[in-house]
Amino acid sequence: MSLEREEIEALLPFLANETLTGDERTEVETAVAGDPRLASELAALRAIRRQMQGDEAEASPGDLGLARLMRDVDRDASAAHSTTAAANSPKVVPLSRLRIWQSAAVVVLGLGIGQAVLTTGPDDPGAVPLPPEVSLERSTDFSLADGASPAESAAMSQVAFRIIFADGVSEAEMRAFLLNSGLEIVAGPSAMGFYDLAPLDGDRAAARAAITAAGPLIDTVEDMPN
Amino acid sequence: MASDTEQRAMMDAIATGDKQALAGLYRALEKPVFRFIRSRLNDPYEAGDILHDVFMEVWRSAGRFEGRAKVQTWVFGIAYKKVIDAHRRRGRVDLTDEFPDVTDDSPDPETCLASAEEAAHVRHCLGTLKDDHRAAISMAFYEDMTYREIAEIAGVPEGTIKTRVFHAKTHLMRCLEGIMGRRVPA
Repeated sequence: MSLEREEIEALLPFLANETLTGDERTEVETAVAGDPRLASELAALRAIRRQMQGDEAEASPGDLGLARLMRDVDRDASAAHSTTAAANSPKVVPLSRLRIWQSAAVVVLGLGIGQAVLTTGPDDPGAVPLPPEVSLERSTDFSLADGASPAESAAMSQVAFRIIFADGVSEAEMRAFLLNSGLEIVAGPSAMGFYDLAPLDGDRAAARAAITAAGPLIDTVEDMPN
Repeated sequence: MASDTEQRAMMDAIATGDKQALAGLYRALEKPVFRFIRSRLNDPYEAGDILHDVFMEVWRSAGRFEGRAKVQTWVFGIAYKKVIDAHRRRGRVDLTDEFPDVTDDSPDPETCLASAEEAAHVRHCLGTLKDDHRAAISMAFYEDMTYREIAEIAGVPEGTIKTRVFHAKTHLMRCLEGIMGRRVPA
């Protein structure tokens, strides 16, 4: 084997870090011994390596990082356990399936109402009177299909997070968490145990940080779209 | 640091859900992995987050470790990809190996040697390298890895790593020479 000059130069860093072996090492060492410039370059590379390895200017996360890792591993394990338990329980309907049915119901309802309006029209003498919640032009005192008033609907539009508190969290702990995090409960708990939360001052980022900081108090958190 | 044999035993235990084994592997590899991530990112907090993500992935994927590579190589491979993902998320544009102009294309090794005695110079010049060049030289010089190991981590042929390290070395030496040239005008 005979290495080109360029290959010798490319392998020089691996002679500097002492990982070069066999024929490659022999050839590079021979080349360095016969070329003062290569020898100087090797000395410079060793100095660079020494400086890099000695540069301990910044501390790694250390034990704090390990504590964070262990906390999240526990959460991971409990989440997996919950999922498995839910999947094995015939009484529990997966949330995704519920959402599909909710969406389907909304679409069917919308199609039915749309068809009624198109086929009869508001001025049609034979028109079937529409219920108040549908006659939007005739009244401002309406409620939405889900039964929420406009005020309630406005509050719902501020919902930033949907959470489930961890098992065993007391009411006092929930209250303290809400006070500390600047969040209010807008709706809930649902049959599934969900609470919809809105930040009192509209600061989602700060509220999100507070939820994260609450750690084991919160079992599940879902960021809601703006 | 724990030997590769010890680390393999830890991996086997992690795959069965042993948290203490994960803690052991974290203690063994946390510093070099963090240093590697940090060498490629300017933000120490983001580097800490990525380190966390790396070990969460180790926890979740330990069962998929096939044992063909060293454990350290496998973990560095996870870190390598996560840093690339972080760069992609931020739309980071690679630096273009900018360094002070010098009249001669070949850096003078004697001047480089003098400049390399200053840790701050080395740190500064490392920061001017393109990410893939910096990653390659970091693994070679921080962790004393072979070019085969680096190629495995980066998922590229060995020749590519030799080329990257060659370019990294050349740019690094030019940068170091340039610093000395500015301090001591000829």
